[in-house]
Amino acid sequence: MFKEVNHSRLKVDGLSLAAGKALFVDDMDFRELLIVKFMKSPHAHAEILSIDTSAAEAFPGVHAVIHHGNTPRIPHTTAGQGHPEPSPYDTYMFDKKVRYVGDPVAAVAADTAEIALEAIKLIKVEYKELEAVLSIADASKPGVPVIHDEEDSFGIYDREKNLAGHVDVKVGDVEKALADSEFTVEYEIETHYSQHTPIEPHICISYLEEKGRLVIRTSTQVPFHVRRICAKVLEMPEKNIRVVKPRIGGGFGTKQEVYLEYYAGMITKLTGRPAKIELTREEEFISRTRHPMAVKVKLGANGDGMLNAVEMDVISNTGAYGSHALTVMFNAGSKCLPLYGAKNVRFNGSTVYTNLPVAGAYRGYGATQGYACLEQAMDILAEKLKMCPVQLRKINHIKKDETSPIFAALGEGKEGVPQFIKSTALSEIIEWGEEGLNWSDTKPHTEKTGRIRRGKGMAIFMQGSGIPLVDMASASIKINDDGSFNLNVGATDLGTGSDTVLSQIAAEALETTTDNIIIYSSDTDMTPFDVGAYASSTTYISGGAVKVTGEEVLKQIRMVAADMLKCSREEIELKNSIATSKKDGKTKTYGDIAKYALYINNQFQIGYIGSHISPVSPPPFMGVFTEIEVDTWTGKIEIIKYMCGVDCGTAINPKLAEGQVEGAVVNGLSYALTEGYLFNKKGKMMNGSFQDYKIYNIEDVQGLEIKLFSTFEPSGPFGAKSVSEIGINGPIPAIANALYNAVGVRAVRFPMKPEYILELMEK
Amino acid sequence: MENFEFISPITIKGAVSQYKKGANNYYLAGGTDLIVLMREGILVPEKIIDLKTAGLPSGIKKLKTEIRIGALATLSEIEHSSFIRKEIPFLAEAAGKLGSPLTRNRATIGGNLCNASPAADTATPLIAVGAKFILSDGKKERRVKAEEFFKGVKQTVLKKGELLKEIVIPRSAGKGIFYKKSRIKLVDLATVNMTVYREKKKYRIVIGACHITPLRIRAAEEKLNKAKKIDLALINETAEIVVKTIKPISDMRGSAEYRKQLVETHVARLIGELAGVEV
Repeated sequence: MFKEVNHSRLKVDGLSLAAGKALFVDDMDFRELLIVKFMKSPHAHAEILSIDTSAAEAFPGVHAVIHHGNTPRIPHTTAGQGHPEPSPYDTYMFDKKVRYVGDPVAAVAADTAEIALEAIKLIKVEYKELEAVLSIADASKPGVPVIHDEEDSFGIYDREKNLAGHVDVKVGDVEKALADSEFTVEYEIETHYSQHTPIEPHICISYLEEKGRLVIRTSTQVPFHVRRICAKVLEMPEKNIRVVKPRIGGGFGTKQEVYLEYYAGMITKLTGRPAKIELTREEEFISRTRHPMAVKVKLGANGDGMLNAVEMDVISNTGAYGSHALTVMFNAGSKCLPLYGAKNVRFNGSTVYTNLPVAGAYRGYGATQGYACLEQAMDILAEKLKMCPVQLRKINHIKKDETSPIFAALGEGKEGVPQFIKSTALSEIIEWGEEGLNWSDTKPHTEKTGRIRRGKGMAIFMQGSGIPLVDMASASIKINDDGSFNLNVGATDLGTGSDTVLSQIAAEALETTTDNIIIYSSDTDMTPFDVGAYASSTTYISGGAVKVTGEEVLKQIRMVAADMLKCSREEIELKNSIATSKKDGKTKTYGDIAKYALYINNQFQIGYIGSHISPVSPPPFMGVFTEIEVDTWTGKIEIIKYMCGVDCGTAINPKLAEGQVEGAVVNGLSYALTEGYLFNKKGKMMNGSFQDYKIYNIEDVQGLEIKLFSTFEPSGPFGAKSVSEIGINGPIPAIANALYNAVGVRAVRFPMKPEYILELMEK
Repeated sequence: MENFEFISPITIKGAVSQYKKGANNYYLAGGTDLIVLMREGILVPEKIIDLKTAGLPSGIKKLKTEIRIGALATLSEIEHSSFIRKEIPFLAEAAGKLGSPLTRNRATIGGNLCNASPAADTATPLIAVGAKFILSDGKKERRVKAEEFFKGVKQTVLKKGELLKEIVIPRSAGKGIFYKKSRIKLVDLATVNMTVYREKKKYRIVIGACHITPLRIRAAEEKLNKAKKIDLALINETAEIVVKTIKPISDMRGSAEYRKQLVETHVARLIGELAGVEV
């Protein structure tokens, strides 16, 4: 049915990446480049009484030292969201107070990294140490120190209680419904710190172009937000800043954060010289992280298994600053609770500050933490009901043309929008998994013996596609002499393949082939606006913009062709870059049409800039079925099979879509099994290297089976929905359920390391 | 890295006398530990004295009653030596489990031992097999039992300037098994490691990373050596003695509790395997 989309076209940047031609931030040389290094707080919570940088400034090769005493004090958020951001404005370039181990105290720009690091040793800082808040449990206790006691921050829900954000949403009467339910479950877990670990760490280079404007070349997911936030923090107009995103080595949410670019910009502003900041891996670990959350779920059901009530309580830890504090917490509810059709629903969420590393956007965005609890609670309920857990989900999950009151009640830090499910293959996915894993053969853990015990687990999920009525994307398309097209998009390809996917959408809309599309993306001077790559939005929202734009350009081509072929527009058929007159069968190629419009008659540039927002955020759906082996001697979990079925609407590029799911699953597997932060008693992260923090690589993965289930989402470009985040939600609950089925213990803390599994089994 | 003076002595005597000239001088063998610490600024040596030119024995020698391994033999050499693999396979295995192939190509057995980490992978097999170390101060040589070489974390019986020159291993018909548990499959220090060795129905049990030094558990050995028949109950009792004797710490590689669980499980398994008892 489709000619260009729904085909696995080669990645448009694949060959250049493979050949090492594609340029990343650090692949360009700059004369007189300064290297910027940070002096970081050794304390989790302290006041800076004095700072003396004179010796550092006098050190040969040092060109600038910046700190709270000589930089503007502008409250802002680094969250990199749309304007105005739903995150509190509680961050400063530098502050008189440090709030976590690693908080920047000063930055030194020097001719080399070695000189900068030497100079940092010469900076004298006098701290007054304050009591630190080092856990969710401690954050809101009476009498604990207030982390954000500064006067000029705003948007904080209740600073005295270290509460960055709070929400309490009720639909129906949950208390009564729970009391009336024949079966109830209450289950509580706490998820852990983890990091995105992009292979390319955060890096940016700033410099002045010939007219004195500031150019920031940066590894970002949100070039337009970088421009806006830098303009604010550097106190200069947007017109004097250009942000360019070259190729990127992964983001996963951490590069939505805008917190390095303005330091580089500041140095360039002060010295006139190009400045580079590149985080080390150790710094990357404490740059931005995933919000750890304490999640409690209560479920109520009748004997037939139909859910009456679902309640979710969440306390999210945003660390020292409230980046995505409110919205990640909201999403734990808004992306999980609509999955089941209970009439009585409550979501009660709080986000607390602690003196630990700053959390931010991370693939899954709260849904991952919410599902870790909800999908275990569903299994516990099934057991109480003496019902198969697959059956329990089958009768309760949301179906086509159904809605949930939660869609309207919970949005991005505010109310959401009502919506109905218009595409879903969740029922088929569940059938596929049930059959593929021989679910009917599943035995309870009580019947299992021996050293190695096998267990099966399953769970189901949904996510979203962009933020409805908020996320806006645009695209511009113009035709060239030979009938090829320039497609300029603000959308940001961070290795995801969006340049390819958007080119395919353009080609489909323009009745041409993908190789006729020349895409250029993410440059605030050259490309139209796009909010950037987050909230699983690029294919759905930016793809929508490309489709609209392509359709408008096609109208112009039709008009010119009709003029050339002397027939009406309706008589023109456009296919494979050729216009054919149905009247006499005469043809003109897109090249002929372009040259005619550019040089011959009624000359004009065939082209258009189109924009797109969506009133809805159609969820992709996923079912995970896994079988594991637990070694009861060592506590080690081995994945035998991990089946993951995903409904992403029309997969614009099936190979790339599968790749997104695979990436998210592998990411989630190590989040579930090995990744975790170790802090010392003073709040310092102790394992900030890949030696001591294990992320999965391809060698660690076995038994992975990914299947895409095609549906057609009417609101999406050519039926597409999102695909990039949902996969990461699966591993914790599915493996935890399988663990219970194998050995009869429930994981409430993570990761599920062998040590922890043994501890659970001892109890 | 800070500047330092690099010295290539041509005799052991020259190396020792250079070393003794300052308080902050270091011997260099493979350098896989030293250079890393220097890069991180943890060690800032005045002089680096290269032992590779100092006439220390390297390589593996097969004699009638003993095997001699030069202190400068690399872990790769030991791992791949067909002779070691046949005669002391558990030492070859331990050498092959240390670090990455790149590290093993440079790192020496002398360095691994003199560094005196409680988790040193080559320590437990050498103690178990009854090896002796030949130490030299440039003038005199002395022999110490492997078991008595380690004195604490990063501490040995070596006197100032004294070197480990050669390792002497008696040739015997005993059988041993080495086991290492680390957090990830490759390139990681041991959470625990151990060797259980059996010769003429006498056992030796040595546990690493669970004490300030690798530790021989004599009480457990005696339990096995005295027994008329080794069965599952006895193995479990022996494993319990082992666990009661060790004093592991909690760190990022695992809690003390988890280390004890690992030792209990695996020491029993290793004994069972040598005794032919299903565990």
